[in-house]
Amino acid sequence: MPMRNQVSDVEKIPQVFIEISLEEMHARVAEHIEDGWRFLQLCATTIESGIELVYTLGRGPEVENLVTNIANGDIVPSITDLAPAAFFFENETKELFGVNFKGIAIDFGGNFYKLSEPFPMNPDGFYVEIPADEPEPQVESEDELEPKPEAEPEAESADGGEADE
Amino acid sequence: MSERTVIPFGPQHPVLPEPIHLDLVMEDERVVQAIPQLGFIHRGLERLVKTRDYMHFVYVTERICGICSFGHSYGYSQTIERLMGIEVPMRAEYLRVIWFELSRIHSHLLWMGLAADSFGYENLFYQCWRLRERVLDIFEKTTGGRVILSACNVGGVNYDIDNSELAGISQIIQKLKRDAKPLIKALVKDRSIKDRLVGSGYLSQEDAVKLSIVGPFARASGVEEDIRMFGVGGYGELAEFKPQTSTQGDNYARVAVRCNELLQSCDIICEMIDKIPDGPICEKPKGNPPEAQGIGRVEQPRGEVVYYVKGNGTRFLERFRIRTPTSQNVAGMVQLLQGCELSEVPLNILTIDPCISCTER
Amino acid sequence: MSGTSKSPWIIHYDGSSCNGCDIEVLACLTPMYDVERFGVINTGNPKHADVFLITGAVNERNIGVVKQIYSQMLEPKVVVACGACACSGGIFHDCYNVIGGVDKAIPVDVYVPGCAVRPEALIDAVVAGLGALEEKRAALELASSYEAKELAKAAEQERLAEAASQPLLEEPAKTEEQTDIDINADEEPGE
Repeated sequence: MPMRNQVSDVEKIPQVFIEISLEEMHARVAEHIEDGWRFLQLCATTIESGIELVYTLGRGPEVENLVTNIANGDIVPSITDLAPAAFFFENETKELFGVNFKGIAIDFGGNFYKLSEPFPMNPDGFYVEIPADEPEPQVESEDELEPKPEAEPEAESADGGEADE
Repeated sequence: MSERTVIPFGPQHPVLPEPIHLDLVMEDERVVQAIPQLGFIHRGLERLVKTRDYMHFVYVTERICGICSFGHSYGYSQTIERLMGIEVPMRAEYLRVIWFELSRIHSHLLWMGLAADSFGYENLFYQCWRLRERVLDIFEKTTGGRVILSACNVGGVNYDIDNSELAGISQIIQKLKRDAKPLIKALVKDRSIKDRLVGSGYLSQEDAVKLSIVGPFARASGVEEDIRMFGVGGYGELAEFKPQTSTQGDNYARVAVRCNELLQSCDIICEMIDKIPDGPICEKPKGNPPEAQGIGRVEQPRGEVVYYVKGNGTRFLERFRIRTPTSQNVAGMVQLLQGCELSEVPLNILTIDPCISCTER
Repeated sequence: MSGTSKSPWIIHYDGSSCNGCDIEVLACLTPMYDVERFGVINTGNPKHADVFLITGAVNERNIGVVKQIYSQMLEPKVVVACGACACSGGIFHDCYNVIGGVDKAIPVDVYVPGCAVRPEALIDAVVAGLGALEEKRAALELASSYEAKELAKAAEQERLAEAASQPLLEEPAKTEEQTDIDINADEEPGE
């Protein structure tokens, strides 16, 4: 009776699960994407101490999973700047688990699916507003303003010169 | 300066088989931005793992999507088998590949019909679906159901097919391949269809990689990725497998890639039927899934599906998640729609082969 | 049988289904089952349709859409709930986002079980729905004719009552007096 050898399958498509902290997540994903890995999926699971996030990346037959544990109320940096396709999963996780992501490319603000009960997959979940960033420093020095008025007369003189000719 | 108007598209629209809502921001006839709004099919079935044990959950995964039905039960079974270390009999693997490739043929014929209908060729829609009925007859003869088969299970398959019946299926598929060729020729060689499809909806290879899109949508833009080429399960028994790609990246290329895949599937089925060994069809699993996590991947007709499973030692799984191809491709679809004309919108949406019920589960 | 029942037009909407029943609904139009020979056309406009084929256990976002399509259809109309999910929620009846069956959103006339529902059962259901369509049409006509009669009766009674309340002979004199009273109304502040 021919049976398939499971070991050869496991060798054919190796997969690893690596535990890292939330702070290094964005940098690790950026490293992988530069190396040629492709973003596959983002999965959230409710565990006793909070939520476990699994980011899956694939390159060819290999699969690498970056696992991180967060608590309810943590704010996670979004990876849509590296992988735009992640906006779907981040919006969904926000709505089903109450995990807030900072900086999603298209942010539905918790109305992605419009559910009948809030945070159905995470009974302890709650929505945390992202604190506003500090305002960017105003342009104070005149050095930055000077080139503009200089550019205009140059353009005008160039136009005037061409019109004359 | 032209004014911008917003036109709502969907959820009920004759060309869309499934509800999806798009807010199209228009300037005259051009779409400037498309904002998708999903959520019409979200049933929340991932929470059902808590109430249905891992053997019973196969029937739920089958009903995530009616078109990709067998593929979901196949992928789920494969992932659980890998997690639990179950060895599946060879005959079951061959039968699974046969049903899976039949499922791919029926899905591509369905899509070809809908695409033809969306750009006005109603007769071609009827011809494609008439041809598809032969595949549904095979499904009904072998499993009893036309759409939801309930054939795949953890540990193997539920039904066996006699060798004589397999020979009959091989002949039906060869005839189907001969009869599909005039339809494909109509789609691919007809001048007015070519005028409509060539050059529209272009997506470059860099964009395809950056947006991490999958499936024939990506293969038509030159990305050569297909899970079947890694040789998992029955696919390891094929003599050779080469994914169908194109470098043009427009709507015509996507149609051509799917037509080529259809013909390739016919060949795969005939090859599998020639080589199928005898033996048992199911290895009953013993025990419960261990406390571990696992990933499984299958190549469905619409692209690569990723299954994430987490067990906790009991017969109920801790977590189960499906990442379907359309959820990756939504970003690509939004990119495609920018800059196209209003009359091209239905075609551009259908060309990525959206399966919203898979996506929203 | 009226003309509508001889050629009912259908509108189909997917109310959060897995798509299996929807492709069987579309398969009815294809050459194998071919309902177009009975005059059935799949239209996208609710105002043109007589029969509403709905699939799927309706979810939170879809309730409004389903009700809107139903309210836009003109009377008489028939609703056919196709598939196990539309009848009662099916395998998803205990999911959190599902209300469990179409009849919790709109009134249903025909229930068709099956997962996925077979095209033969669908054709059977539409034919059964046509019987209900005929009954509704007859009831509408009866109601409209009954209403017309009631209105005519009420108008007649009103006219008779008005005629009875006015006196027979002094009508012309009363009007002169009334004009006198009107002229003097400012001086004499009512009696």
